[in-house]
Amino acid sequence: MKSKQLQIVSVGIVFIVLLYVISFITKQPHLNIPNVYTVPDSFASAAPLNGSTLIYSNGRSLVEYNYQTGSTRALLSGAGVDDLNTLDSLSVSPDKQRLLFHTTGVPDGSSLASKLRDQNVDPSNDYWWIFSLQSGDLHPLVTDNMLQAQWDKNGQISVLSGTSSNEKIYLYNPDGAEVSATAVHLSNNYFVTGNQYLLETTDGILETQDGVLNHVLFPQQTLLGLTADNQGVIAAQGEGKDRSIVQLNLFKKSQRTLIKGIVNQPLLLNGTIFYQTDTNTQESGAFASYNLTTHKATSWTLPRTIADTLQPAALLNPTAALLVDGQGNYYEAGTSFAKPSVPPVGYQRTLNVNGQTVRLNYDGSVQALLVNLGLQSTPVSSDQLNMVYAQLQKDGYNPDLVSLQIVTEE
Amino acid sequence: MQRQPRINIKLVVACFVILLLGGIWGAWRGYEAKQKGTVSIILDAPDTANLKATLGTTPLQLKAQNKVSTVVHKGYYTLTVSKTGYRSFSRSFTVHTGDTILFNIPLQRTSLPSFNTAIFSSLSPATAGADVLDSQYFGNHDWLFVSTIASSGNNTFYILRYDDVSGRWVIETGPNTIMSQSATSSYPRDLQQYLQSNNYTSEDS
Repeated sequence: MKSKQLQIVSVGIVFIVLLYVISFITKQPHLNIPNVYTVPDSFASAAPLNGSTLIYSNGRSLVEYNYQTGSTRALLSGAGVDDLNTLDSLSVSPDKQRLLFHTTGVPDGSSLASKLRDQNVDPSNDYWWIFSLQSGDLHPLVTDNMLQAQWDKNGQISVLSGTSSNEKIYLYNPDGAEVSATAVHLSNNYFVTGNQYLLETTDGILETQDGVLNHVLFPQQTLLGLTADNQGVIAAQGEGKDRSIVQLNLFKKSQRTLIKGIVNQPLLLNGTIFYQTDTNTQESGAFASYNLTTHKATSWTLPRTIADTLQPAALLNPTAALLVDGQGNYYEAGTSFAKPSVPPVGYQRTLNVNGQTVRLNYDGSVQALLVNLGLQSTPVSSDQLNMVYAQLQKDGYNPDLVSLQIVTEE
Repeated sequence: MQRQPRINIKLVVACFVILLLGGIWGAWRGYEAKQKGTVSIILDAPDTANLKATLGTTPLQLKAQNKVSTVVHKGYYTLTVSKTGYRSFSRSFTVHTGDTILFNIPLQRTSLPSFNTAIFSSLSPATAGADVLDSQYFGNHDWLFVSTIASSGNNTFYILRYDDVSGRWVIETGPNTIMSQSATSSYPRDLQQYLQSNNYTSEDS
């Protein structure tokens, strides 16, 4: 009798162990995010440089920021306080040697405006710029009506430019020299794959070499990016609850559904997709990353207090991302972030610079340090700025992480 | 004794053959239907006056700025488009089963439509007395932005469009000092952007 009971208990234990093993195997891996830190709004321009650093504009310089250690390095010298205020769409070249970014008008007296005037173009228009991380050289691309620009995998810059009922894709060498211009079908997005262009159009995903003869490969989808081997495309398709991420094979002309039920715009960085699913259908947090090599998804578990209102803004590495909430506030979420050393909202100081009073106030609504020069009518001096930076450092804050707004009224 | 009805072997064979041939014909039609692709053409030209287009030996009725699609058997084709005053376009290509091929053909003018102050002054009474300061081509060189000084001394501008049929410039709008953005929605995109970036348009209220 005892032996029969023992048998039943043994079978029960084996059954429980088996259930545990099965649940362990089938369970989606989790990435536990211990902290989500607030970062300045200027991180809206951030682009990943490598696995631990990103580059962004604080309005007066391009800054390299190591988000694991908290250290920064200003990359652009001699720019005014708000020269780069309109910078967006920053991206890093595949060889990590150059940056590409877009500005929507630059201040009239700035060094960027004078570079544009040297090329006889209007500084108040939109331009794309190439910045060399090695030499610090900065120069604009001055093709008319540039809508979109990006690096291709060969390190060239491709630019989509709007003209009439047609558009052109220009190819530039990294030094800014124009290589070719190809008229293409009106496109919402595009990628360069070797000597072919892949176009997202209202007629579907087109592949073309010369812009004239286009092969319609797939129905209308939103292109997210190319796979590492350039032979596939990651795209989003469908609407509402049926929205999914698919991988399109350019050679077989086939497609495979990778993720279903996504919301918002997914992000693609190298071999990782960062996406958000409906919170009602996800048991632990709405964010997840998908590895295109292993074809496995990992759920991100964020602190409960803020998880509901966030959307993906930028993927920095497979375990780190920037998120944005409904009010436009940015956050960094990942496994190994240093807490950004920025002043708290309401931070106030009064400085005396060469007999002149300068008042500092960190304004949360604009996520910037207001530098009040009183009734001073001349531009902020380098002495005043150095004092501001010194005060921030003295108080334990990193000036590179702080955007400045100069206020001259009392 | 009742006589058994005889089966008409010939009739049965005939029916069988008819059915077989019908089946083969249907299968062939189905197979043939699948051996097709689609060729679509979007022509970037101001109009279709004096335009000829053929796909192989088949004439095509193209529309300016609109997509025209035709289903063709798989095979090798040559698409030819010609229009007076424009460079002819010709391209050979292969259609495979199930292919959808989209041609995006921006017809290029052989020369720019000429424009000078004398032409401008002759357009209508509205332009008389206005001095041309500058003019710029837009679109497929068939739109002109003309900045002027009116006889009153005010800076004004005109938008002109080249009419291929009459071979003349026509006034699209002017004289203006500013336009609403919505009024420019049918203009070429580069002209719209030029007007906007140079503050010749205002946002609609």
